Amino acid sequence: MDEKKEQIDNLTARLRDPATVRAAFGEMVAEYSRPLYWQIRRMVLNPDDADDLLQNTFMKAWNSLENFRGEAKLSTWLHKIAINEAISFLEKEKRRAGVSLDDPDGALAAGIAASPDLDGESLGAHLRQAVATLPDKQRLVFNMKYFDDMKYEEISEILGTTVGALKASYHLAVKKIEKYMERFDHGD
Amino acid sequence: MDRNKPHILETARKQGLATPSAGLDVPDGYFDSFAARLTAQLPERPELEHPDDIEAESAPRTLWQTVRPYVYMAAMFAGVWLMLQLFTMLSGTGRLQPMDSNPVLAEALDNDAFLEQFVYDDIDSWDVVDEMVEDGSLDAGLDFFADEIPDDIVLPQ
Repeated sequence: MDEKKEQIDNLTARLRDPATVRAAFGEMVAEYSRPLYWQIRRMVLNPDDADDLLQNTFMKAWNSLENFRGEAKLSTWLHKIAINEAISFLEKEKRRAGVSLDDPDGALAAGIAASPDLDGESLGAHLRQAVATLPDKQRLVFNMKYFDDMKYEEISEILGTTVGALKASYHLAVKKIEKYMERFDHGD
Repeated sequence: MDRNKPHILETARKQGLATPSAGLDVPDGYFDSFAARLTAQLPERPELEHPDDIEAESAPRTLWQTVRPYVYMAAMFAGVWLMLQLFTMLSGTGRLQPMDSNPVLAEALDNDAFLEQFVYDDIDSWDVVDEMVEDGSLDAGLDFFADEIPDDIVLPQ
């Protein structure tokens, strides 16, 4: 763990050095593109949209690199940008589709649930369908906690929400998913 | 829900479904090609990559560079002022001339027809009375206006 921290500190230092900033940024992309991609992909589901949003995330990071002062962790800063991109994209899609932003279980969730990614009768497919019915922000919290195994403190730093509110949000999401899954028989 | 049943999410976790990429896939080599593609697209950021060059370009300004805009502005105002002076001088409207030194006006005022047509017609006799009352010369001109003064007006003694 210490070795990883040392590696990230070294990367952060090289991002501040004009002589190494471009190379260090390339290393940063290689290091973080995978977790950020899955984070975005779980939100938007469509692989092409996820690819575009991941590119936008790193372009924004490059264009505002001087704003990263190293006080926050590099991963926290990048996750914030990626999540903002994904949430903005989903809101734009809802507006484009004429879906009310106050309609958490509405047509968008139905549309997401109908994604080809979610075909199948396995536990995994049903789980993804259940997650797709959650409102965006609840889904985000659930994904970060359940799939990415992030600590509440880290999620709190990224989303700017209190740990208590996150715990409540996760608890509600779990209840909704369990209720959704009751209709299927997975031998549990 | 049966309390003895394990939570469905725990069952899913045991089946390896609680990972960031569970159930999702990308083409082979996607992440490697993504990193190469993105770094090739990164625009130049001279302020990040060559800050020394930018500092050299923004070296301290000379005195002339500092005052130049003010000098130009002063020159512009001076030019406008000179043009106005020149225009005033050429059009002859710069200063009122005494009537005696204006032969055209003197000749016009000697012409009764001109006075009749352009001066007397515009004079209101009551304005003249007002002015005479103000400057105290009313008595001298009283006879001239006697016929026009209504009976109920009491003139000052």
